[in-house]
Amino acid sequence: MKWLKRAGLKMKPDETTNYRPETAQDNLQRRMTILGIVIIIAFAVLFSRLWFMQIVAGNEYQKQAEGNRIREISIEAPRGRILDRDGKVVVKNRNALTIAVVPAELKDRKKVVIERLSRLLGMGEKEIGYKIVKSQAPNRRAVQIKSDVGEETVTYVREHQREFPGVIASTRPVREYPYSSLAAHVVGYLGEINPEMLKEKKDKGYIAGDEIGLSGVESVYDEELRGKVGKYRLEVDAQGNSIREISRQEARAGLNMRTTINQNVQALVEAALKTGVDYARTRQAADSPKAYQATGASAVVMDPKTGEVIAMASYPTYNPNDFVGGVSEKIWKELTDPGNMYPMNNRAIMSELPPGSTFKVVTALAALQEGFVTQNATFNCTRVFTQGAFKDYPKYCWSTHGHLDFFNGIVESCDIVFYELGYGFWLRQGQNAGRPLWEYTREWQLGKRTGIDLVSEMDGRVPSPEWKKEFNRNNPAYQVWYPGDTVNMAIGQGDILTTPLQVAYLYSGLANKGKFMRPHVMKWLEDVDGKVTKRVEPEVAGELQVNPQYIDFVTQALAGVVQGRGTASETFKGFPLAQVPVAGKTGTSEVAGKQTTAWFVCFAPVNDPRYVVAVAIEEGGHGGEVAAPVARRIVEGLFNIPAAGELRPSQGD
Amino acid sequence: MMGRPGTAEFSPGLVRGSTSKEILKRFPLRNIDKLLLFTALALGVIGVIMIFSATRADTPSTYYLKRQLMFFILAILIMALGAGFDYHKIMPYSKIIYGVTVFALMIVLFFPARGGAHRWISLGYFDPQPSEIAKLALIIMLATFIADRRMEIGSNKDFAMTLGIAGVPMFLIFLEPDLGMTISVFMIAVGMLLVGGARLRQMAALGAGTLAAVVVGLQLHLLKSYQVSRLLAFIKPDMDPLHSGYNLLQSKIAIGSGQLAGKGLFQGTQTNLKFIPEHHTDFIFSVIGEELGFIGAVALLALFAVLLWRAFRIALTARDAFGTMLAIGMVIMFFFQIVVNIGMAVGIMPITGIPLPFVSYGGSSLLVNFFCVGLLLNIGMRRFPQGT
Repeated sequence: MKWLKRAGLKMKPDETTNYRPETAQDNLQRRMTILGIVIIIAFAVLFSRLWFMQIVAGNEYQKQAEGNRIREISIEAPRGRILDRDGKVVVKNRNALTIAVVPAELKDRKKVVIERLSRLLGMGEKEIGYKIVKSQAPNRRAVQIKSDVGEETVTYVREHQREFPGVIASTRPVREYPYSSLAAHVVGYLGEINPEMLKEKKDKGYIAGDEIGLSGVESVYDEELRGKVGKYRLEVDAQGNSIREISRQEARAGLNMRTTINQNVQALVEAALKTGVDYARTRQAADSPKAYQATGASAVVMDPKTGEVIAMASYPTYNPNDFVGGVSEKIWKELTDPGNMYPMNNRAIMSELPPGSTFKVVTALAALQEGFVTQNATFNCTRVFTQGAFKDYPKYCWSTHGHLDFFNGIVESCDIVFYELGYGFWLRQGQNAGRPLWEYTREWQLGKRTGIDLVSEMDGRVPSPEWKKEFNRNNPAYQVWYPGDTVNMAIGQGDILTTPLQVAYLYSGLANKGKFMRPHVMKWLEDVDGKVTKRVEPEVAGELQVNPQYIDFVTQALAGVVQGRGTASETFKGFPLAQVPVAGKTGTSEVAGKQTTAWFVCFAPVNDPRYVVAVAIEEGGHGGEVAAPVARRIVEGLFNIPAAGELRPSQGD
Repeated sequence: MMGRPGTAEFSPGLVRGSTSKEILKRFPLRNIDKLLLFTALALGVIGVIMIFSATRADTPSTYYLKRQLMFFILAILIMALGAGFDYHKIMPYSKIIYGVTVFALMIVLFFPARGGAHRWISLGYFDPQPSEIAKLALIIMLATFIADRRMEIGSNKDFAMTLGIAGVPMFLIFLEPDLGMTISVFMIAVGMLLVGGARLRQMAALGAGTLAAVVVGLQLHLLKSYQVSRLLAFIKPDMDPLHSGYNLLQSKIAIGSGQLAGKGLFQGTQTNLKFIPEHHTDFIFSVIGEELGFIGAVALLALFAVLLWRAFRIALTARDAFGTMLAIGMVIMFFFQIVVNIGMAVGIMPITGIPLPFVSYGGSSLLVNFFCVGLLLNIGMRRFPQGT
């Protein structure tokens, strides 16, 4: 035990014993020895472990270290296909050859790799760098650089993997839109999830770098469509060649969606709308030396009995194929350039426009319900309206209709008739009698979203004295509700705003005798085996108690619009009304500083309406001139009536 | 002070030794354990270098280096402080130190969690970790307690008291949660009980009790699932190579691939590519093993062995029971952390998140460890009755 003493580990009784209790001394020595032995054993174990790992098995570990690259690759779940109401494919998937980059594996060779990729893919180095930087994806997740590269590119990268560390050449399912822009606004497009959305959806399994629907049903039903991303972890060697799969979690395909859209009708509506826009642009504007600009247009076809949207089109449109594999900077600039009128906007639900004369049905029905006018009332249109307060500020009709009754007031869209009705509402308002016009308007589902399953739907606007006060809260001079406010509203002008879908919805409520079926574009979701997992049932969103006589009166008047002296009679000349009776209404609404918006909304057949069609051409001219002819084309298509050839404009409203 | 046998003022040296050489021997600083001092400093330097190696790929690359260097310099001052006064002066304050630490452990629970645990008191630039200080506070408290009882805590009452003293901070640290630190505190208590005179049957009972507590704890899911899976990962890391087992596999590959001479300082590929998370804290040994190889790893082990040897020696030669127990407590603390940390890195110990003393990144841990070295030097150089 001499060495213990030498190492200073032997107690020195002469120095210390006195200060520790004698009895404990031996004990302590023994106990400390135990502790010492434990320490020595532990160190011996660590030493031998290190010996084993670094000397004996060192080579083995060395090999592992050399090849130690673990790559996490997402197996993108094929998104659910989007089908039309008959099961025809609107959106599907295809496998695209893509080049992706795992930023974590670039490291110090980033510059060289980007340079090589730039040459190989014919993309700017800047653009590649931008894509890598822009992506929010974690460093180990592959960032897509280019989709749809040639097979030879993939082969080249694979054969020269050594020169492309961190680059993955593979196939992945991407969206394919076989009819390019068909129903683009209903379908929507995809893009990388942005940080705000990610925050919201994190607990739903979304991760940075995910693709997500950014508009249309792709967005609304993204969670159902996207399926579940699979994942596998690969061990790859220093050159990026995979050695083995470490773990795998299979992707689960998204649900297929059956929409309410009829692909044929949709195509027809889009074509008709385009024709209408082109036609409008050839026409001389009434109040300016230029032709109509027709800055945008939209159309909706819906089934009033179920709320199903058969077609919904918006012009100008875009090609969702451009978004596959990431939209290029150039196209994105084009799409967001104000000069191009925002092709990505779905005008059917986003354009808030005064409904113009299409609103007159609400005024008519409200006045009848209030009882201050009867179906037999007669009016005299001398083109000016000078009653009461309007003596000094006369309002004008678009034509001089002379003596006419209420029925023809609707048929011929006489503004004087509706000024008088509006004035009636104004007077009753002063007497505090009955209900105001805006209350009826809201009952007809205007001024709020229809609740269609699409994103970015606008509310529209139903003005009222309360609204006006609130709207002009910083400007007391504008807070007063004038008689003109009510009177303007009676003809669908002034502050009232509606989306084309709202107008379609309004008329589908009318066609359905006051019963509003919530519009929707999704019919059901089905899994890969065709089992339906979710179905949108027709939903009654509102039911009005209106005397059926009144509804019948207005409906008959609307049927008169397309014939005889009606404002759209020219347009429907030659249309087999006996076979398919149509009830419709023209509208020409004015927006300050812009050309007039042309409206036409109709439903058919009158007695048992199957379709409501609404068409709005912004800055397109008069309803009868451009909107009604487009609607006729659509109705012809809906009922398999041979097309009449050239558009036939009706003069007037 | 008079009632304490462990600290009784005594100056037999003056009686016994009278030559000038004998008297000089009694000046504390002359008796400082230089080997211990330089070993600790060497470990600190290795830590600073290896932390830089581990984190230089981060941005900014010198963030951790600067901070650790700053803490290291501070730690040397703290070490001087720890050695600069007669350690016996701590005894009367042990209860206060203990109380303040327990209070700090309670306070820390109200600070915002980082990575799911309330371990830090956020001060902004430096966020102290009370559990690091708690270990030392407990050692001081137990050393006082055991020394007061003449290193005979064989009675059941004293045994229970000791467990109680250790149990309070242990429980609070468990709540943070910090499993590694909880176990550290527990092991310190066990070690000090062992040396402090606990009976075999008491230790056996404690062992049985601990086992029962662990079983009950697992049954009641008191441990977070990540803690359990980390604990179990070392047994079968391939079971889940990308989660709990991942760190371990990567650490083993790093160390093993270091082979005899290592890949060279700053040349570790494992570390560079960030295969090892926590490479500057809990897994710093992997970086050393990879870059400095078997030679470097064993050299580090040797340094630790020297450190423990010198500390152990100080415990044996201390002037009194308090000094012995204080030194023993620190020996146990260092020993446990070294073995568990390195054991974890080489895959023979569960992953508990215990830093490697002197080497791992972390201000609190570095400061406390060097203060401990200061105290050890303190005990060592005052082993002779003082001449003045």
